[in-house]
Amino acid sequence: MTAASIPIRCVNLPHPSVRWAGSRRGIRPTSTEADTRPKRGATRQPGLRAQPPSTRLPLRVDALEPSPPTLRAFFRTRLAPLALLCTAMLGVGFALRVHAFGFPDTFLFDEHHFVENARNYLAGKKDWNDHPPFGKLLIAASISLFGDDPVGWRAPALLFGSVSVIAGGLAAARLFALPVAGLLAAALLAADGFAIAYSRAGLLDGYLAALGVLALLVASHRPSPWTAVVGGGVAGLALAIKFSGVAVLVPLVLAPLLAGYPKRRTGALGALTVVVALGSYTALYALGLSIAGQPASVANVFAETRRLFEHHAVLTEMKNPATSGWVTWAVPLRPLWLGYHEGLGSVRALTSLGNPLVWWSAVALFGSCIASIAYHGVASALGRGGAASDERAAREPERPAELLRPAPFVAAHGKAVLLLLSAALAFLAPWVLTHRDSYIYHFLPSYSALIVLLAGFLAFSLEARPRFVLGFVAAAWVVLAFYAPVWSFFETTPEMVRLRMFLPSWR
Amino acid sequence: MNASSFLRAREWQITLAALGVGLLLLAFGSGSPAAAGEPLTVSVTVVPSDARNLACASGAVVDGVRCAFDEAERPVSARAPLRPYVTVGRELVLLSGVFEQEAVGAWARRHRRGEPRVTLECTGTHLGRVPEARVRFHPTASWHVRREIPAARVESCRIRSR
Repeated sequence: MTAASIPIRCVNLPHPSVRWAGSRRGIRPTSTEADTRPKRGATRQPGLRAQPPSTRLPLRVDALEPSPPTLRAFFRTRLAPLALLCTAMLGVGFALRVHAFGFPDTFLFDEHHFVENARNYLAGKKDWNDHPPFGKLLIAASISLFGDDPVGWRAPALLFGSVSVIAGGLAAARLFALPVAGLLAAALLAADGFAIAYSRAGLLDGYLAALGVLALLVASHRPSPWTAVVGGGVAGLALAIKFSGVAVLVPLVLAPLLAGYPKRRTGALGALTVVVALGSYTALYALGLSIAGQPASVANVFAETRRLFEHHAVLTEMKNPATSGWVTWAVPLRPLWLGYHEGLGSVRALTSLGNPLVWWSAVALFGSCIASIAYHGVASALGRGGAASDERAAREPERPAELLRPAPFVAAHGKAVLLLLSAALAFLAPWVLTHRDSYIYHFLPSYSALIVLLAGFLAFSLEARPRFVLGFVAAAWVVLAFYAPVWSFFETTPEMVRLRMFLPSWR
Repeated sequence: MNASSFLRAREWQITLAALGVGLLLLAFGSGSPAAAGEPLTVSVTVVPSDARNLACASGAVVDGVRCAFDEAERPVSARAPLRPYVTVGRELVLLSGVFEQEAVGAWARRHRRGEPRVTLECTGTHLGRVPEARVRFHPTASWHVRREIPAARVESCRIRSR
């Protein structure tokens, strides 16, 4: 390489450590500080020193005229291998969602509760299921569109599962102001068996998780009356699927508070969100009652809500063998078989077990972020920790070897971390605070928020530890490929299923 | 950066190795379900009257074994004909020789008047798939067309649970 060729090559080649951030006007490099900071172990190229000032100028990225991006230039950036892996995960994740989508032609797991009541709505009959009507109305609409067959029963799950991936990516990119966080979040959500399984089954929890992620996307915007209305609408939909959907309100109400708005404005926006949520819940419930040929006044909605609530309040026996306590979800000890079809020397199975690497990393990060906030205080996460805290936060980027610790991450992205933790905790709260029978699928909305948190952490660590992040994503991709047969009804053998479900309680 | 240094970069080595391993796992990681001629184990749930009630109709002959009815639903002479069963994993299969097993036949005769349900754990040989067959689970029931049904010849059965 000749010295004269260096600036020309650099026109299309940002320094690997340039940090890209999203803004309303598009992607831009946040600063050129990273360009000038010496990299550990890097040696200066003698040719650069020899450059006359005029030829060195183009090395500054922000001093250049924008040049057309080319595929060749992209593949030379350090981000390219990561982007390629993420793209593979997105592609295979989608393929696993649609592979053998109509299999089996009988009901999976609890599908009969929801499909049979969707049929009841279509026939103008009463819904006997113990959840509000919106989830079953979605299935009813799908059955009218695609027919009363497996595709009709499961199409809304696929739609909401895809929304979850897209909204999760957008939310992560906005919350952490890093497009690469969005790419990572979308890839990790796409490549997780828990999310894949609930994108393939006519069950309600996939819808709830998608609305939870959508609420995070709304909460990532600057709070305004519009975001309150949209967020309230999303919360109303979630509440009209399952009562635990009320958790969607927590990050939405918290967002104005974290934005530092005055108390009065925060209260007004929060109240508007709650009012819209209750209004849309009541309207959807009334719609369900009227389709089922029942009285559909506000009083009837209230009475039905009370009846269902009282019914759920006494379901505390934990006798069903599929139940699992919330503490066990960290492993998880008892994932569910949504389908298990044994043939002659072959098995086709669908498990709710997630990607173990992503699962354990997300849970570990969840715990360590909470511990970090408990130790340093919420104020430090909000950047109000006083002079010492600010000094520490300012110093953190200079200590790249320690950036894998949660404290610098919390200090740098405190508001996003608090928002995501609040969403995860809010969806966990009903199962922690009560003795209501709980199942692993109750963890799906929390888990989706934790994946967004993990993506933010990986994106934050990318600058200091690019190979660690790349290695993590590469390993997650390999685990995805390993577990694909039990996430998408591949025809496999009982031995291969046992190999993957290596914990006795997973079988 | 020329092509060779591009490929030498550690990041690309990690990525391409991971992609390769992943694609191999996707292509071959499911293992091979039992192919025709291979031994297998299958578990089915039966009641004594199944010996008389279960039947299939098809012109297909797999390894010398066929259904008790032809494609026009006329009875044909067949020793140990294929019969439709549902495995404990709820999969429809065609098995030959289940009630012809001495232990199973004796159990069915012994409980001719009752309908106790048992699970049979049988070993046998995979015969492949019958492209299309009509199946019924009672002589007075109507036939149902099913396609690509796995078939096996049973060589021994153990009554696992009562």
